Amino acid sequence: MPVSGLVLTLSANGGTAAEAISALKARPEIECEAPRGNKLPVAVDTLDRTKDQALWRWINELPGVDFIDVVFISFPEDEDSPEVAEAC
Amino acid sequence: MKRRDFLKRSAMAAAVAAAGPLPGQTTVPEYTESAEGDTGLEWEKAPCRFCGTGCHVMVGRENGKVRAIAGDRKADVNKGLLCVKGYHVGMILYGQDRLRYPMLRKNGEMTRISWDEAIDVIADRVEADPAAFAIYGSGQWTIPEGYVAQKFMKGGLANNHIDPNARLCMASAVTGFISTYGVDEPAGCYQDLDECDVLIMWGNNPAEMHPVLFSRVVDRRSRGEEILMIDIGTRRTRTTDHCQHYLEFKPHTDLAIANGIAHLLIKNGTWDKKFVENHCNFRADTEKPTLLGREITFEEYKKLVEPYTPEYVEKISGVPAEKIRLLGDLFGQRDIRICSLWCMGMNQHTRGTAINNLVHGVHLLSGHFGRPGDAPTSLTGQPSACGTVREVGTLAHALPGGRVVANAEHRAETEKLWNLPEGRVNAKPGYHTVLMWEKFCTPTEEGGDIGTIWVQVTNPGQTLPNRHKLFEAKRDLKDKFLIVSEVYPTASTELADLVLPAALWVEKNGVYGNSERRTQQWFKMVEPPGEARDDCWQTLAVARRLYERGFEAMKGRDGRFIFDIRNEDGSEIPYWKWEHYYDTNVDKALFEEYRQFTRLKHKDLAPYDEYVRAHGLRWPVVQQQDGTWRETKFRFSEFDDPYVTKGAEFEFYHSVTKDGRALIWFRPYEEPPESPDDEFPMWLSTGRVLEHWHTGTMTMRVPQLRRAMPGAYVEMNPKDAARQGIVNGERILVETRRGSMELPVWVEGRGHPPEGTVFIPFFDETLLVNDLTLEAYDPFSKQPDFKKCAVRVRRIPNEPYQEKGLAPVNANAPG
Ligand code: SF4
Repeated sequence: MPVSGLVLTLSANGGTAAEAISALKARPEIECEAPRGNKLPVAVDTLDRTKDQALWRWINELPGVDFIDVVFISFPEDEDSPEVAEAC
Repeated sequence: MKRRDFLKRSAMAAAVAAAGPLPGQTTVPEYTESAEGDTGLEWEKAPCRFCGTGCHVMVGRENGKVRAIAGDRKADVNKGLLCVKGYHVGMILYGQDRLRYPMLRKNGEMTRISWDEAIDVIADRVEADPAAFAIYGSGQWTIPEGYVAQKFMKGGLANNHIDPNARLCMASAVTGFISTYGVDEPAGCYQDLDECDVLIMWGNNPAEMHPVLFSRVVDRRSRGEEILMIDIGTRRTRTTDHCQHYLEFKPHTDLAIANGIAHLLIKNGTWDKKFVENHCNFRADTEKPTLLGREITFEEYKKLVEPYTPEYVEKISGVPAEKIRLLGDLFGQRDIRICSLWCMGMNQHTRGTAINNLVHGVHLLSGHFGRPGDAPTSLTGQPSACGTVREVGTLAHALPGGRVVANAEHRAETEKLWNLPEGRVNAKPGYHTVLMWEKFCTPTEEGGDIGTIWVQVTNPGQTLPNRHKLFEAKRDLKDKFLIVSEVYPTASTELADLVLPAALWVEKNGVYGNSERRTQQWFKMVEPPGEARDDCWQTLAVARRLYERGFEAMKGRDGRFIFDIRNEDGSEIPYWKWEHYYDTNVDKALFEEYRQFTRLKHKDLAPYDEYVRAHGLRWPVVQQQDGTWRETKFRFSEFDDPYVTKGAEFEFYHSVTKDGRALIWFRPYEEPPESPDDEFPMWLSTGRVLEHWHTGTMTMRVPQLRRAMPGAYVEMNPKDAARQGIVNGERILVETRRGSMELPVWVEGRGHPPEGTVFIPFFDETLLVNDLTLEAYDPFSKQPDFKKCAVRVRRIPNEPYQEKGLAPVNANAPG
């Protein structure tokens, strides 16, 4: 159940950037702060790793988001979960 | 507040702090201690375990486990940012199949043994034939680990058969720097990326391989700064997407492009006469090329580059003449700042040293050197390729601090600093990587005089070129013995006779040196699993066992153990017993000893404790009159480097020609050792992907990363695929003269090779692309060329479309 802090670099096109912010805000797993220039701080809280991964991809592909930087990540406490075992 | 809410608050606070102040605000709200404190985790700094960028992370731990990772805002390198690998770095410790116990192959079966027995087995192998013993190490060794292995071999056994995997990734950069400036490693630093007007990537894909560095540049652009970005490459990558110009060249022809730029600088009269007259000499190859070549005049140089007209370069390289002119014009402008970046593309090249020389040469000839933003800068793939390999000198020909075994004075200094009997250090360079493995895989009676190799912190079973010949052949040689210290099962442990479980990253103390000469320290934070132990301890324990057996090689001049560490009261610290290893800081003792070596080539390091306080320091780190230690960002430039003579402006104080000048080389374009032909009509190039670090040993254990990029594939141009009726996802046969393998095809995937080229990443241990690659290497650096060989691809009859192993091209929708 990862919690992560991301900084999104928004595109120079104000229209697409605004649409990206609206799309991000519409997702319950994402919390957005006010943008700092073209930088948007967000916190992401997903229920499981699959959703975390999928959400990250979705953000990455979102028009209006040029780049994602990750600045914080917490790991689940259940590191012995079947999912990790499957990875090995 | 629940712990999860604390974590979320910390995550947001970290993001807010990294994003900067709100408009109208002047300060960034501090997040670190207070927010981190709320989580109930203990936080400590460490460099990222992966690439040579050397980002700093804050590691949050709880109940003896790493629980969270945050980018370290106080670190200059990454200012709080991390890439997708970096933010998952904590999870590499917790794969289920961590190696936990020493295992010895007995009657063909791997059997658990004690550490005591393991140490005896190695000591027996050394004693039986010290000259046939070799160590194969790594740019992921910490500085103390590499230093211990180096001293054990060269100072103890008088045996120079120690070489690192970095031979496979940056050896050509080393020979390039040494033959240009007389001393290794970049003059500039990452600040060059913040200040350049033009950024040229030479066969380099930093958007995927050094993402945090690349985001510094993207960030400048998104702030409205104008930066011209040029990708000179053999395949379109994520980096290309950010560039205004993409210059696609035929593999191996980058030398012609660099010579073309030099040609135009001279023809247009735009070369920097003052810089060249004051600070440069010219060189060209001797009949039989050597690293030092022969002196030539400017007029001779001019004649040599004369044929490289834009049209001639276009004919060789395929890059349109007007694009060559664009490069020539840019380098000819003195009022802009140009930074060149390169990594494996230029280094994994049978002309690797030569192309390194030429790129330095165009910067020197044009005077684009030594001002912030004006720099030829090579990047390293591994976190301590610079610190441990290039500075400690864990290469077969080198000694610590830029010394070489072939130099009598250097050997004498080393023997003195190591307190060894005179004449102990062997003058003959040992076997470089390819030769070491070739000798190991050759029957002893046929001249294969390496009997034992001890591998630490690397996975040659996956990364050596022409794997069948240089690795797998060992399988049939019963008298050869392979020892592998590792953290997870790999292609190397699979063939090993003795496997030693190793501590990983923050399970041990460490010091790394990143791509910009920055030395970074961290402390052990959590315990390794099972009986896994530090690599440094492993080498020291073997050395001590040999000493206790009376093995002379482990004794210094005074008969003491060569790795003698004592308490303040003069009593010996028995750190070779694992239970006492952390009674003292062994890393600190070794670092302080090593530090004495660093003055000769002005790579001065500060005392260990300075690195404990700092977030890395770039050498030379020189003590000021007030007792503080000052790092150097720009070497050879008077405004920043304390070793440059006042008034000189620039000074290459280790110059090959001993006159403070750098060398501008002419190196001709030459044909590659293997090119496509009728039988194998395409080019094969290999490389890395964003999600996985090198052979994937660590990153494939992180579910997020593994799922994002689950398996290797072959990237194909759609026209090549269509010509053979190949569809996306289909498994095809890829063959070279050395081997063949089946892979799924990815058309229009992440990278876009041109017609006639395919690309395969090397991270997947189930699809070992080095069964196919060529072992031809650069004559000076001995670095193999993984970037090009001839290949053919074929459909497999009746092979149905399948997605198995294919990267998730359509996984963009949220779950
Ligand atoms: S860029 Fe390199 S050092 Fe930085 S976080 Fe990513 S992998 Fe780690």
